Amino acid sequence: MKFIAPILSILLLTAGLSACSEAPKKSNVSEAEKVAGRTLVSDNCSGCHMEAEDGTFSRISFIRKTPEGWDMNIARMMIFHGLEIEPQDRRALVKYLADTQGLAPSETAAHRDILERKHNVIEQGVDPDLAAMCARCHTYARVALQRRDKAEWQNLVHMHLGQWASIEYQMLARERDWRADALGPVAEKLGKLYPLKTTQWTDWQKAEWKDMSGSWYMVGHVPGIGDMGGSMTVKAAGEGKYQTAFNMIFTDDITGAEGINLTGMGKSIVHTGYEWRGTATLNDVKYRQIWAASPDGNRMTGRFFKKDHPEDGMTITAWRNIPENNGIMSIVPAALKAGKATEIVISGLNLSGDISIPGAEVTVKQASDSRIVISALALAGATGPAKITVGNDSAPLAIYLQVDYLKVTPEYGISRVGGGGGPIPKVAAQFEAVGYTFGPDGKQGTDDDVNLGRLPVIWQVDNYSPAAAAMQDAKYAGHITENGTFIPAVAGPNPERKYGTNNAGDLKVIASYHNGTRTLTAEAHLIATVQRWNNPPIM
Amino acid sequence: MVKKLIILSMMLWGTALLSVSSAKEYMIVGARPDKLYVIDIKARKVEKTFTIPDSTAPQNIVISPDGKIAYVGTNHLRSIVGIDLESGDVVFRADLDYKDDERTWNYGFDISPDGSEIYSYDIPTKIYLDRFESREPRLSVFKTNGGLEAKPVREFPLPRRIHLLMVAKSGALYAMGWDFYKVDVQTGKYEVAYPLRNWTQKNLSQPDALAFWPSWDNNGIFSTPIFYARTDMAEDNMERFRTGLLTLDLKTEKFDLIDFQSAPEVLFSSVIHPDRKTAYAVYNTLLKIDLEKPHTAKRIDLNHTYYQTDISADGTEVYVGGTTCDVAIYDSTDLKHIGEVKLPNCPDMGATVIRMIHK
Repeated sequence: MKFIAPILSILLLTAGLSACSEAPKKSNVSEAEKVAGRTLVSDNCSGCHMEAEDGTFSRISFIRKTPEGWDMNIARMMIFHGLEIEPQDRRALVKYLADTQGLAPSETAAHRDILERKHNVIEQGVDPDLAAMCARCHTYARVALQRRDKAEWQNLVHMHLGQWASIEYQMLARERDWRADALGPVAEKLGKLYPLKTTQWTDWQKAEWKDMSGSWYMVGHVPGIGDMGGSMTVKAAGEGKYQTAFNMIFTDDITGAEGINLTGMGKSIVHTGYEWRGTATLNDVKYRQIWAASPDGNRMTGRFFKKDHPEDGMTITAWRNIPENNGIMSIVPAALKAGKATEIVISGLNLSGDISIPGAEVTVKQASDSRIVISALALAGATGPAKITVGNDSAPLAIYLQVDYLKVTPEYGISRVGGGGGPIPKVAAQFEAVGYTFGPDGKQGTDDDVNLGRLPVIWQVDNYSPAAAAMQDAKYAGHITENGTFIPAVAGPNPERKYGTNNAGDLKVIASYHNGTRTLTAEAHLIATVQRWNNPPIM
Repeated sequence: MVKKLIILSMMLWGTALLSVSSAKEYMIVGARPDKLYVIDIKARKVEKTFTIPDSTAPQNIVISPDGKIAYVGTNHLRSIVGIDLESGDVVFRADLDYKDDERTWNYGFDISPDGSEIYSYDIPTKIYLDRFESREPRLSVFKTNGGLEAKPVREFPLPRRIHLLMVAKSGALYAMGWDFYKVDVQTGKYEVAYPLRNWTQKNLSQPDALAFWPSWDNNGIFSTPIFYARTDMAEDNMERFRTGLLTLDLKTEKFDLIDFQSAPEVLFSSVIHPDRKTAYAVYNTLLKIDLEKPHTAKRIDLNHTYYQTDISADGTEVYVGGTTCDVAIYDSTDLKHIGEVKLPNCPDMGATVIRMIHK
């Protein structure tokens, strides 16, 4: 009887399997790719990272990372440990490691701002102890975008102690027993927060990683410039690589006027089934893409930025052109002043049907299934939250009588001195002034306030504090353009300044909006600081 | 009592000063990547320039008691090189990475009163093929006649995070870190001579001081700016943040803490006037500190940052150096700028220390 039960179970289980009768899923990484990847690891790494009987390589097989994380790892091996590797092998090794020991989409979701090289990011919600331990030198994302067990986190601590002589002596380290804390409770905590084995990763490896080729529609916003709508055509080139072609049209989000047209070609690769990394040359300028695909492979989000100025770029939403993806992706501008005819650009995919704005007259000036240009005139008195409808889809739109207040974004900006004969270029800071109405409750700063989009304002900078005034920061740190771009001054000591200090400054950025007899102002804080000398892919 | 001590110290140091009064005073500084300068400071002139072989960035400098040899810490804290100050010959070299499987950093060294031994605070990391293993720090004792491949003759474990060593007249080794330790260089036994991390100063927070600067050549007293907060004052009262001078008399081996101002500025180093009534501290500003009040008697803005301040043996001139390529000279009474020495070709002094010698 003891034997019968298991046999029965096996029979039942087999029956169950055949009832599902799904063909076994094709592995996301083919056997040939696995063999080629292992050979690369063996050829380039096994001189130091011994291969065990179970086929694992010491250290390497016990870590998971993003593509950038693996690439930084290889860079460190080259700089500090004399690894010599051909560029194509380095790329192939990153692909193999990111595909077989990567992070699932849900494991990177909270830290994409840093991965996407967004400027002005202040990481939120970081454990203060881990921030003091790790994020005083680099971003917290650099830690949170890795997976290791406690012993491997401890190895990482030992590496830090052996690589950076001052690590225990710096501020926020020297007042604690840094080494004991890092090897003890911190490694323990990291091992629990970010362990090697997770169900997210196991599930993602089992999921079907989609081919990205096809036709895509993109929308995005470039601060200080306007909004973009455009197409990306993707052709598969084998081994997770793609050829791309772009055609983008910009719209000034203040005037609604059509701006520049950006076109060009590029190449992309997909790591880990969803990490889209691209290069493109658009109107003779080199760009980079760091995007992530949704788990179903039909949508992507990320940043498109200039290769030489990662701070200068736009956040993109892209939809694959398939029947399921239909609707409005963006409206520019998304606010309509009552009584004033305004041109509005509606971008989306498979747009069809009637176009209307309740409370406003709409004239269609141009229409395709991805871009519609209308002229809208809201009737006087029809103010408040409204919506724009295209066929079965709709998106929010604000109708307003007057701008009640302004906000400057980002609230806290960073620029960096550069040039001046040095190797590091200036890093500018772009500000925008956004108008708001108080909303139905008539109060500023409540949830019902309505964002009216970017407004034309007059920009100026001033000293942020008495200490900044004493150092005349506003005089020396740089200037702001009519368009809200703060251009920092040159790098290096300035003999004209007190202490001969450089052109750093602590400034406030002031926007003034003149509307008839009223002038609204708003401020942001700008740290005009020094160069970053070390710019790794994950800061 | 304080006055009596000061007078006593003056008398004791007076004899030391007398012994050097007939000698000419020189300043020794380093600069990246491999230079060591002997400056005739009163003449405002670089007298000798030596090249340190296989060097990257000179930092700490220790002078033999006879004033003939400068032991220079270089190679990013990984070598101690002895340079003959007459000939420039390399007479000693300890490359701390001498063990094949170790990477070792030095965070301070000093020399015995008889010049026969160098005490070095070393932080080793064991290097495996595929990983590092941070090891416990140690005191390494080298014989100065150890040649060009000197190896330690004694090694003892020491606490982590020590950043400055100094040898008292008695030969006792003091090490500043989380606490100030007194170390027996024969047995390696150490004790807390002055608690910092767990100090018992009433109503004062844990202090912060990261001192690398030996400014005791012309006064026989170690001093460093030290920062802490008054825990008995309101959080929003900026006066609660305090600056003091922590001193160790290298003859009497007595410590003192002198609170002299709130914390309006960064200060990297300080030096006590040989008369022990005044001190000076520097970073972007140069302060003259009245130790009897005690308070900041005068403050001037400098034309750039300087890391170390030092003083002439006669107490008339205050020197500031480090960071770029000049040593600026100020009148010790009114802090008037009275001279400067520019190093040839403007090399980067970085974190080099200043030493004062007489010969």
